[in-house]
Amino acid sequence: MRLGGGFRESREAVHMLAVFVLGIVVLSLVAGYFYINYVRAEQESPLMKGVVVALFWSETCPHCLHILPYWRQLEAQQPLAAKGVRFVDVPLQSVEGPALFHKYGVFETPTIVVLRNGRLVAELPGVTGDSASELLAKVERLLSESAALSAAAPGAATSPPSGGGLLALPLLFAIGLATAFSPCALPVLLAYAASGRRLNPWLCGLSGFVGAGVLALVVALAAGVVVRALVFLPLLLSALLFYAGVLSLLGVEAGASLGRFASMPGCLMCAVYPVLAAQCSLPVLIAGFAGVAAAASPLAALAFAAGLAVPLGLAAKGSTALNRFLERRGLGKVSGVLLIVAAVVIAAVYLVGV
Amino acid sequence: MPLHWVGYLVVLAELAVLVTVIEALAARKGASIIGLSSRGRRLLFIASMGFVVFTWLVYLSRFIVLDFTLKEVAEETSYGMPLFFRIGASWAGGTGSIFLFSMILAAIGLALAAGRIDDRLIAYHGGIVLFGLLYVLLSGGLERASGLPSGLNPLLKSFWLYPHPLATFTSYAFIAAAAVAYAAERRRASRIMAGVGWILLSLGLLLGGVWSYVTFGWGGYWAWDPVETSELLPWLILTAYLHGMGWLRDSDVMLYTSAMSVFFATFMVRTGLSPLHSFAGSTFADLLLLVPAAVFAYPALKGLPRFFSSLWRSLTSRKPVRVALAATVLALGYSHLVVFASLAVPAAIHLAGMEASIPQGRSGVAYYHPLLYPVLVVLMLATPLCMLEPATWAPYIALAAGTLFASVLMVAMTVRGLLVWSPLSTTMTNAMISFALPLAAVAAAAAIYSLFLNAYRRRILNACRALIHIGLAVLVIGILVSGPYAFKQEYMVEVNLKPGHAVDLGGGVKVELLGYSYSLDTKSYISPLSYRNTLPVAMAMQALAALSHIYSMEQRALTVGYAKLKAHGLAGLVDLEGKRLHIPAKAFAITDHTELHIEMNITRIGLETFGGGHAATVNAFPVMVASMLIKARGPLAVNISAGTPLTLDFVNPLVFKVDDYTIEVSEAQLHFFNIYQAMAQGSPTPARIRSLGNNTYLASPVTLIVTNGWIKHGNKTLGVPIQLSTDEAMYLSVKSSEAALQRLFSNPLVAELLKTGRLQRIADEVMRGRNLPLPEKIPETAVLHLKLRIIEHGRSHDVDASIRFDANGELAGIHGLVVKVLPISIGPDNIYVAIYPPTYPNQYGWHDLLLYYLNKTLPGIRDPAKRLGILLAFTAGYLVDVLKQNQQGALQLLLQAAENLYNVTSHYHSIITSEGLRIAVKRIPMIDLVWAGALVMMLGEAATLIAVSASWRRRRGS
Repeated sequence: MRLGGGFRESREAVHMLAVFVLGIVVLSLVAGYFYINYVRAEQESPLMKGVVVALFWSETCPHCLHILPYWRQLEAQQPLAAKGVRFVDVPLQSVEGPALFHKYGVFETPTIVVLRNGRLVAELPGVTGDSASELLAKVERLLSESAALSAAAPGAATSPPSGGGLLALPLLFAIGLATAFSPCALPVLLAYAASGRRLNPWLCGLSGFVGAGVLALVVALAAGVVVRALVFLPLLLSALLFYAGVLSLLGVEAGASLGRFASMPGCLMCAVYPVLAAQCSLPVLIAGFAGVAAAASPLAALAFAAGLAVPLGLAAKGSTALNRFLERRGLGKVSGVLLIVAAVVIAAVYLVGV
Repeated sequence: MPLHWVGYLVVLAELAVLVTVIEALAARKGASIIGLSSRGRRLLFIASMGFVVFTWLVYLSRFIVLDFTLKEVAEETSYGMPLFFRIGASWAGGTGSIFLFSMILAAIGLALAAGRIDDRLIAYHGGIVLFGLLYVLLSGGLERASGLPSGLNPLLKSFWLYPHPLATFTSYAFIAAAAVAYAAERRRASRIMAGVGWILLSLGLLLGGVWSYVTFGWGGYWAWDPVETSELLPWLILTAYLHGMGWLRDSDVMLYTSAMSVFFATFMVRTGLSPLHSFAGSTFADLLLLVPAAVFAYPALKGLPRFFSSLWRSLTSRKPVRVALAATVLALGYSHLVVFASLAVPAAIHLAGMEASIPQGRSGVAYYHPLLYPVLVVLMLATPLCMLEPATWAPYIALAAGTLFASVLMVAMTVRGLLVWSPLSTTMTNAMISFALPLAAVAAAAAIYSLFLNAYRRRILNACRALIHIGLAVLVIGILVSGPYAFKQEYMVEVNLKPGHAVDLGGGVKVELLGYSYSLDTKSYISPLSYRNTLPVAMAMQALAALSHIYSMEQRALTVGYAKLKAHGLAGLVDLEGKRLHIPAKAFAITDHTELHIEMNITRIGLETFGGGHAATVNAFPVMVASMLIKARGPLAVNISAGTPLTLDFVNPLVFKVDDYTIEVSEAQLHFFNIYQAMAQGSPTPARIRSLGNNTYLASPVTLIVTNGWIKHGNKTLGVPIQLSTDEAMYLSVKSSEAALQRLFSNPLVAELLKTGRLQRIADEVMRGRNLPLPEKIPETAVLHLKLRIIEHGRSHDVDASIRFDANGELAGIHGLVVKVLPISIGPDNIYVAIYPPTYPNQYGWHDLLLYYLNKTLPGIRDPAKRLGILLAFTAGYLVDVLKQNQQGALQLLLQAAENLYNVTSHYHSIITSEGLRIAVKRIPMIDLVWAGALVMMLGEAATLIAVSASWRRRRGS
């Protein structure tokens, strides 16, 4: 059987793939840098988490200057820390000042504002006082009136959904399937099988299951770390999936040749197969585990391994209808469709939020 | 206007070039005029080009010695100007810049003459130099001048005066030379010169952006100002040329278009359609610049149809690299057309005498960005194809599909709010950034990959080309991310920095003011006398005349008006103002069907005019200020409040006596505020009204204006309203605005001039066309030196910075304060800091450096008339924008402001400690990518040129 399209085309496809991966890396660097320093920094401002009592004041307002020392005392003592309430102040004459005044609609100073996870729940414009305890009393009254401390569910700041849930396992099984049909590696396996070497399908399937499981666990761990640092990376990686899928659909094959594996024993070959396949499908794995599964879940790894092992065993059997279909250029189409579907589903799941 | 002797030298050079060109043209037709051999013609060419360079050096020498009799020198330099700026001033003006251009062209001609040179090249190259020198002669810069220096535009007095204009004009020269070299079939020279021109033009654009960024204080590097847009024009089509050169037939059309655009750009800069960069008004000579533009347009237009068909053939050729290059050429050509139309159409309308405007600033963004965004997309999509040069389409289609998928995902994330680049921009803008970023990232990746692959395969030329596109992609990424932040003023935040305090600038950076000091530059001077025709000086002249006029009117009013009032028997009533009175009066009155009993205690009586009456007379009404007890018979239908006056109809006249006047009031208007206080403050302070129950109110202060009644004095009885003559009315109005006027006239400067009658004499002369009295020389610059400490995440370093005030800027009406910009680098981001001096806390907001400057300069001017003149000129310059808007009260405002400025300046002490420096801060992400990307692009092309010429040399050698 043909191992690939014209040699040239295959090389060009490899170049393009490398460029695409590099492009995704560059994009991630740019977007990641921006996200960490600008988007997330704003979300992690001390005003955005928990219950915060903020004094909005201005240098040019005499009432503000009058109560400021008392407020500073409250900030130093933090008398309501046990209830999870923090005292802070926001001067107008600061870099973030005008934006915050605008965001919370503060027009008068001094104004006390109660925020819960960044959202305004109560305010007291034109507050006056002659001592820290007087201000504290006013704050406590404000808190009780507004039920800011009630046990109602705290509003979550916009965080991307961890998603997956019910869909995770079958999706990972599907990804396993897609990986198995990797245009990088399956031709090698088929050639191996057709070459007459003895290959017990059950043994092959089992070895593949083990190898895939190990690989999946490693990837899941790595993906978990990556997710925490760059929240949207899985989304970009689904682009990689899409790309790989289109490549496959167009019948372009990039990958290994039989030569290196001719002398390997059968079960080792099958155990190593997942790694071979992952050359083309690594993005598949990372995207799958990062975007869909919340953590390094062993169950998810097993689902993936199962998805990969089944077709592996079938292919190892040699001349089946499946093999004949695959030989007749069906491989590219199957793989391509599976990859594209996986890409779209992961993206949709992520965006829509589960 | 007669020419300076340098001008005659240029005429000689012009003639020499003319002879050269004519001789070369004639020789081509076979008929030599002077009878020179081809070697002779070559020598003649070298001689004339050398002479042009020599002439420019002579012109430069006039700047170095500050020969103010040469007009260009007078317009751009000042007494005692440092040598650095003297040389730079030589190309700062309209004439000087084209002179520089011509000189560089001549120098290029000399370099070309070292190789083969034929009559065609001599004729063409000499031809452009001819036009350049003609412009220099006709534009007026070489005329004789009065010998008084105006000083260089304050914004040009920086290091950037060298790099940006030099790069720009050198590039223009190279582009023009490349075009004519191509026409003369010196293809290789043309290629190199086009490449050099492209590098320098890119550099010129970059430096223009950097200059704008570090000078103007708005934090942006591109504003679609017509001058910036004009410089972009030749760049666009030149880049297209570099992509089509060598394989696309008739691509020389693009080279000619680029040369045409060069001259068109120099023309656009002089039309005055741009607020920036306008050289003093456009002259006939400016139109002359359109001639070379037309000359280059001709071959461009002629070859256009063939060019389009070649382009179309390549686009439809199905070979990936061909298609990509053709698409690039098409995209850049389209962008050139868009930009050209946006400049040419308004220019044509403007030339026809009608009003026109070019999209710039916000309107520029709204116009250009939607039109040019597709170009960006096409270029980014084409780059990987050109970089990787695949033979078939399939791999690239997969790449493009994957990239577009990523783009769509990014847009989805942006729309969902997960990744918003610029919170203050529209969702559309953010979506456009998100869509383009993956394209640029993949383009960058393709270029990087191509660089390494080609370097590995020793294909140096391709590796250099890859480097250019790495720079391009990085530039694009930088522009996408930093653009909204750089452009939008809304991201600027203002904070105050007081000595000894530290201010948090965000991003983990703090700045502290450690110390400050002032200095006056005693070496550089300008002559205010050379500013006769500027708006501030004109306004100052009018104000001076008005001052004298007001004084005469006041004097007349005080004498003639008073006498008439006395004759009228009313003088005693007016003079009751200011005396402490307590005159009780009571009466019954009806207002709006309700009867009131009024008891009042009158504390002030006067006579006021409120307009009305016939042409020759003015109506006057007695006015009383009092505290009043009102007892109403029944609830009042109307509201007693400060805003609404009550009309009182007295049942029996309210009568009271004061001195020897008896006043009977039958009808009056009751206002709930003190009218004299309101006139003094500008707005009324409402009276205190207390309700005592039982429909009784106590109000104070109130004003009662008698609208109908009698005034009896001796045996005279006058009916109200009283008819007064204009002189009497003038007296009354002078009396009521006494305070403001007296302040003005008792100002020491003015009083001295009034006493001797000098003010009136000067005003007369000014009205008859003499100039405003001004000192001969004033210091040019005042500087505020600052010592700052910048603290970044715990690490600190000290920085010396200074804010400059150039006096000539204020006199020219363009403001002389040059803000200090301090960009602080954090990674690829910048925290943009613009430092302004504090402003005085009154309604005029004089800035601290102006006050310091005047405090040091005014006492040194002996003649009070000249001191007053320069004071008025500076005030007018400072407030020129306000004065232009408020035409009616402009002169009065100017006089009062000048009086205020004089007082503040006389008692000046630094207000930094009390007010603090004004700091404007803005955080701009990834702006360093813009500079870095552009530089890498240029380096890449430079490397390419070296590689190209090396390969030619190798081929020649082998």
